[in-house]
Amino acid sequence: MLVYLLRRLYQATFVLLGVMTIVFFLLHLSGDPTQLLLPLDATAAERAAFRTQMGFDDPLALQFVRYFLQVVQGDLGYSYRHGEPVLGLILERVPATFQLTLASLTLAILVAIPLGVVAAVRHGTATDSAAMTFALLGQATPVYWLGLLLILLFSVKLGWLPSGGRAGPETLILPAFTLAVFSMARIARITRSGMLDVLGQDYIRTARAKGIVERIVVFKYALRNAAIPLITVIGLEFGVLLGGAVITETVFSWPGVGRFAIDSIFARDYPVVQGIVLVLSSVFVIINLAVDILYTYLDPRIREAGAFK
Amino acid sequence: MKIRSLLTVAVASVAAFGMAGVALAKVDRVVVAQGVYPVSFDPHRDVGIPSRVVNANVFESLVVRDVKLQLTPGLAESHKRIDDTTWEFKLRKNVKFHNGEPFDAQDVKFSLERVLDPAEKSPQRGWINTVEKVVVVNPLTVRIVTKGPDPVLPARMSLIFMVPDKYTREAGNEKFAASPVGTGPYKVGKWVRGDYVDLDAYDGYWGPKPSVKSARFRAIPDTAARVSALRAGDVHLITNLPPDFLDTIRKAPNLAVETVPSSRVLFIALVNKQGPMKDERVRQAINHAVDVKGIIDGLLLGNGKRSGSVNGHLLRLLGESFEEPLYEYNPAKAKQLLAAAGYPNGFEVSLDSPSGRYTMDKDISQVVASQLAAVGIKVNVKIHEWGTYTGKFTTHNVEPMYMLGWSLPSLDPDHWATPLLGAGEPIANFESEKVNGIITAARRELDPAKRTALYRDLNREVHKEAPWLFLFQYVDTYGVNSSAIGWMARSDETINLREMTLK
Repeated sequence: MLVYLLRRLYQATFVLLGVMTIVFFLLHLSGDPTQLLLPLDATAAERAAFRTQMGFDDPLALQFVRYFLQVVQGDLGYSYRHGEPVLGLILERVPATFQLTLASLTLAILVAIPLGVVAAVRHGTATDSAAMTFALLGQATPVYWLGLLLILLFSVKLGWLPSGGRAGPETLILPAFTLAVFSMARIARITRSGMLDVLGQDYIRTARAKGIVERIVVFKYALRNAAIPLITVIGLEFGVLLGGAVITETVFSWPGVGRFAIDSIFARDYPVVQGIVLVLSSVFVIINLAVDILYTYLDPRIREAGAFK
Repeated sequence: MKIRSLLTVAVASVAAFGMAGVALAKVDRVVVAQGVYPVSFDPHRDVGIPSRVVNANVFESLVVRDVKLQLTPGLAESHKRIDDTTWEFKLRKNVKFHNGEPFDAQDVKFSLERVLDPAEKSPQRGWINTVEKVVVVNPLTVRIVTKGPDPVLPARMSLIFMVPDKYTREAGNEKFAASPVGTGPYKVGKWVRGDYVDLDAYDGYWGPKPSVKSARFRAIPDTAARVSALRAGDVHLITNLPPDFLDTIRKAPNLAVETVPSSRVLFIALVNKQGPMKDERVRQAINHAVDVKGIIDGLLLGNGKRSGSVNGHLLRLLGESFEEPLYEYNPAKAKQLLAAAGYPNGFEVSLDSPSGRYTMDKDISQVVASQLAAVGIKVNVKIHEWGTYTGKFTTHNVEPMYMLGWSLPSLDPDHWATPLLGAGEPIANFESEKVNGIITAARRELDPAKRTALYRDLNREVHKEAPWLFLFQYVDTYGVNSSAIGWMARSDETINLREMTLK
């Protein structure tokens, strides 16, 4: 197990290195940040002086090496705009994003899995169609539109919930629900198709033939087997939500990493964008690793197939 | 019957909750929502308006613009010019920073030198680049020496906020930005980056005590969400209300729309270095071919004022008289002028346009293109994201037509003339000896009346030479919860809490 872990971590460093290189060069291709950092009427001499100060004049390769050496020492550099260390700026916002992601994912799972199971068990009935219509609607509803609609209803009309910002738990309800709807739909559909596959297997028929209670057949025999692809999807969904909460964060003025990333991209604040991508991809790599480990717990076949040799 | 009465109750309760949405009760804390969070509470770190809006409540400058935009004493009780290049500022007595440190001449020297020092990388350096040196005469007198005659110096001094010498040095830049200390009527309280910053009245403030004791500046980037927050009663003042929301706000009980002519002008520059644009008649023809009033009424729902000069709107904002010359919308005349210039069948040209930077920017570009097509000028509109676009127009890398909006917080007429039309300026692309001559003379003229006269001349000449397709001066729009606060919008886009009253 330890060898396996170490090997995966070793591979992960290459993934992160690749991400770092690609992001660095892509960003620097997108233009010179000087224009956005200085007032529009700055003179050519002021611009030139500023560029030299910031090190933008050096060859790109040199800038990359400098950045690389910094990062391996755990230093993500200083934000061009804020003049403060990037890592601190990102970590300030990570809790907000994690809170929103975890809340919506939990909500999505709590709703979607029972929904998917019911749809599969009642396959072909009106319940199934209703559940899948709901899922389809969820997937087709634009997050932006749903968010605004919820604000109009619950904040403007009813005055029950705050329209945005991040303060008490009441501020989490609307954004978490908005963000959850899309994942809910996807998870429900995967649960349903996974369950349908499994429910048609011989061992289920055997279990039923042995007279095992249907509830146990469904939840213990079927769901546990159907859970394997589900875990992958949920793991991926977590990553998607982390980086993809931008629209929800914007509509609900939630001070998370996603919005910060977008702002920084538009401001050409390269160190911040690079930092966010590195932090988020590290999280993504860790989630993937966690999913793989969870697999081996859920599916003994993988263990035996030699993942740990 | 029963069902109907149940329905009535339901509808009534929804209506009641709806009413409860907009706060009627007296507010303890005024909440202002801008679209963007301040970049930094270090007042020398950013040149953007959202940072300035917050920082102007925490920090003060030597000279300030009052509600009528006139330069009035700030931290300096008075200032006078000693000779062509030396200005003396007498500082206010008994002013203390929020940490108790007394404010004196050394803080002025430190603050200005902090902005000027290249190692500090302050983007505001260009705002005071005419300053040669700062000399402390005594604790309450400071002299600023400029590199040449600079009539704009007092206006420049309204831009730079004073920070405490001792505290800033000891704290270092990062700590200073985290716990800033100024002399202003408000102290920075609790803040969460990207979300909100609280400002609390500073008891030791030297000036009149403000009516608003506590305020919060929030960032709500999405326009529709910002409007909803106002309607829900969560915020009391919102900035950048787009035209299509004005009606919603006007109709809502307890809410009002506050408008003010902005110092920002929008125009499409016509590069006269080569091609058809070299001919003055072609540039005039373009001005006659576009129905600017139609654009203002149709796209901005009336929230703009036509312009026909470079800084005429600004002279008026500053209280000077100037009658704006305007081009008549007359496509037939445009065609005549084009024919006279040798382009009876028109020509083809490209137009660079930003997207999402100014209200309705790319839509305006497209309307302009279609109207120019009607007189035979085929315009290819090229739309750019703002970051990419700044890289183009700050390096002369632009098409013969390009859209730009312009406003600088100094509000000095020169800061419209020199950067936009002066010879050799990084973002100017117009060559005219006459125009440049007047601009240069005005920039050196130390007599205010003569200077204004020069700008009147300049505006008439610019109108004739038509370096731009003149569009309009924006009207800034704000949404206000008028049952909670009383406030008047300013043309310089700042929100001074001390000018606000609680109801």
